[in-house]
Amino acid sequence: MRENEVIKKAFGRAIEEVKVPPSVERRVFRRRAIPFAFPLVGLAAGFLIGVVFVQFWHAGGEYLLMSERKVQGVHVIFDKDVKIGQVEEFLRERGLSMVGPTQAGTFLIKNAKEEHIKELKRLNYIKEVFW
Amino acid sequence: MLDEVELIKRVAQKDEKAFSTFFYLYKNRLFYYFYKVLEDQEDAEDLTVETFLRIYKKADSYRGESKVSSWIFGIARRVYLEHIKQKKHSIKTLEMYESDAVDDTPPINADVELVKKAIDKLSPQDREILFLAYYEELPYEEISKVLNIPVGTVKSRVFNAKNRLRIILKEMGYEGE
Repeated sequence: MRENEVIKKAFGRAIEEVKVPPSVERRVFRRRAIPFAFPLVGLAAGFLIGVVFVQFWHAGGEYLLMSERKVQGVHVIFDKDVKIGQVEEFLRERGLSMVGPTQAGTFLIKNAKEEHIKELKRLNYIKEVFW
Repeated sequence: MLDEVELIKRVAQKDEKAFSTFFYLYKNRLFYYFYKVLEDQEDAEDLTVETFLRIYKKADSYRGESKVSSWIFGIARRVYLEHIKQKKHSIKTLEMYESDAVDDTPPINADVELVKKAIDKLSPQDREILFLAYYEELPYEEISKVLNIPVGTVKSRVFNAKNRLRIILKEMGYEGE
């Protein structure tokens, strides 16, 4: 073998045997991506802000809907002579609560059951019930 | 397989596949180069990463006037010099022979494994010049550009490095043929 071939092969063998730390590859490919990361991060951030905004917007809508529709309960109109404080105490004693009034003058007694409504009727607290 | 010129052109166009191919083609060579010049694994790792990043960034500045490997090791050498400057290491200056040394010594024809071990015992500077001349097969003119030294100095450094390699081989029991 000629001298230059011997030296080249010796270097070649040393290069084959050298252990390149895996972190070299990781660092090269990660850092190379950084210049492209800025616009991508910008886009991603914009997208996320949009998603969060839409989520809140929907959540807000849903919250309102829940208060009106999704909460289990019974809509009622109380007798005009009934004091709201009296009703609230009655409900509190039974672990219930109510929200209202709406523009139509109705109250929603949350989680009210039939027996609660019957009792309220018997006490003449309720004028009308909307099942 | 793509030739290196085509590969570097594609890297310049930010072709990811080409860069991956290029990375695997050069990672051992560059790491070995830095590791043997610096004799420090951590620094060799940093400089290998830095060199690849520069190559990726500056691939479009390759004009095809020299071998791709000359261009690569030119960048590697600059990265190395900047590192030395930062660390304020003194660069060992070798004697500069401007004369054309005539190599009339018997050629090295020892066992490859033995030569490999002898190369390992050389100084980083000797190893570097032999690596560029014999492994990368860069012409003296291109080595002179990579190392920023006159062509005559390249020749004398190669000559001297080979002599020192011969001495080491002799110390290791190689008698020559």
